[in-house]
Amino acid sequence: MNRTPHALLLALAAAVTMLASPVSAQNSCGAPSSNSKIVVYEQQKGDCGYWTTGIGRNTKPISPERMALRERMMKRRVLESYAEFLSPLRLPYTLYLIASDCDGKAWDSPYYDPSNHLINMCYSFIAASEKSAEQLAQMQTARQLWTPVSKEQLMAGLFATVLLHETGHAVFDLLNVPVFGREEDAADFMAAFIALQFGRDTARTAIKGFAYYWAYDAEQGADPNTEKPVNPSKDPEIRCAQDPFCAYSDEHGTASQRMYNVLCMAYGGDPTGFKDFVDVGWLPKERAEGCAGEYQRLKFAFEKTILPFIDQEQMKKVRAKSWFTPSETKER
Amino acid sequence: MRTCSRLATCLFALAFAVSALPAGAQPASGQQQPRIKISYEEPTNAQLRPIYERLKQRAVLEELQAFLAPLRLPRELTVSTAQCGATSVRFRPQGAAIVCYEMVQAIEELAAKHAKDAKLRQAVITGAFIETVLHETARAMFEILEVPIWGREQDAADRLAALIMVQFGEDVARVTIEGTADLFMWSDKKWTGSDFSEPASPQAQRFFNYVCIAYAAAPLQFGELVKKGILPKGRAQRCEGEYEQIRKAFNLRIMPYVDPEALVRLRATSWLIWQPNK
Repeated sequence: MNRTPHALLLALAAAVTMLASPVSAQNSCGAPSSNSKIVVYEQQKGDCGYWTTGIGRNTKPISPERMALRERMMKRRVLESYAEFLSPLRLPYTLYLIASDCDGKAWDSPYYDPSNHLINMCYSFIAASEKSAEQLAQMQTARQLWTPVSKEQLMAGLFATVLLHETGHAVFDLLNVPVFGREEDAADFMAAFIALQFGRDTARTAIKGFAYYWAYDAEQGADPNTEKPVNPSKDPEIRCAQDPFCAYSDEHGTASQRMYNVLCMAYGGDPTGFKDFVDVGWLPKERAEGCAGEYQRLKFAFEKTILPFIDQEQMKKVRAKSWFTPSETKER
Repeated sequence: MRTCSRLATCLFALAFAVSALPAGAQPASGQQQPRIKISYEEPTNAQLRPIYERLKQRAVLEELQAFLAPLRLPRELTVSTAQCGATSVRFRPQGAAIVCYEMVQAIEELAAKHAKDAKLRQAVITGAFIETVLHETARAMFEILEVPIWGREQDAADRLAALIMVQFGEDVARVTIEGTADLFMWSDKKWTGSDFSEPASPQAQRFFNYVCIAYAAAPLQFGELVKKGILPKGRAQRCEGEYEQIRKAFNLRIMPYVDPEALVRLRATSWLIWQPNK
């Protein structure tokens, strides 16, 4: 999900440092997980995996604002729920889940750290995406964009798909999955595919959260420029992002590509449930024509490479649960 | 700046060359892979006829057969050159890998516009043509070998093509990667709005996918891309991981269908010589 590769590298380096030091590995909170290979990782006994600092070099205690976010996440049992959601996965190595203040920036994206088999949910991402969701919900209403959406639906869908995206990276790594395409796109497809296996309401919330987020990002000018800037930045990274050619060097797709890819998978997987996306012109008809085929290719890849590692009995239990609240799946 | 010339045996695409390069030696019949069929479809558009004639005369597809000889496919693969009405056609399940005459024409036109030096022009045409053939063949192989594809299929075909390009030594890598890279760099299409809904990636994105794999495979040969700032350091740092990933995918899913002895013989063949301009 990360749009800032530099930040990701820093976070990875920091995570290496973190796990190199002896820390209690056992979670002392709540009921034991039904999958011993999915572990909510405590920094201090009793924190239930919701750390009160950043990670690695960022050892500063979190601000009161972030503490409030942490408490909201704890109340919602985000980590515990996610561990349960992933419980059907039969992993050869343990996957650790934590929430932390990451690098302590205004915007840190959740990430998977392959060195430590760890998914880190950053508090700041929730704060930043909440702000984006509010602005986007207003923009959607004012301009009558595509399909109606609520702030709750946006927030829940975005957070779920970001986690699923990072889970995609984790699963590719831990299961030694052959990835022929670009891994970042593959992780987006993983998020969409999983969301589509949990019924239409869940799928629509997840897909809308993801797609609207990238629509908003594109709206903010995140797609590459078509002309060279008049005053290019002196910072090499920013200068590259401003350049109409260099901007494409990012291993992530552009904001619009990511939006269309996921819309396409949704429509391809459930043409009735996502017909409105095509009817309102959000997903262009030319792309929509090939989406059933794209979805079938994705389904085939999932069945060949991931499905053998899924416990079907446990999967039935997980699929029977509601993972979003009624207000999060409510269509406006 | 660089050119390519040929040895006694030459890669199929070089034989296609528009310039006065001599036609290559034909592959020995014993090397031909019976499960790979080829066909040159006759175009109805008179403008495309010279391309058709050249490809046929130079036995481009016959050389491709020789190149693909180590593959042990479970069913027949047809590779065709054809008039498509566009530079590429949507790949159809069970269909042929099709190289469109219109794509060859577009490559020639772009090279003529941007490469004033004849030898450079020739090298770019050769490299870009090989890219097109490998890309289309990769898509057909995915289907025939039932390869699970994570990510966008056309990017997967690019990454596989790039991996193949860098397995035959520095000269082949230079000609193919640089020809491909130049062509993508010269593309003047500006992508905006719903253009991004296309299942194919923008040319600039494809450029970086190719050069990233090339840089990881041969940092000495392609390190200048980083030094000159063409391949940004941020991406370059992660190219090794990308290269290892596609190599692992190849080894897991395609290598079981490759005859290792035949592959050694193929790699022992000199295909292309890259010569920097003095």
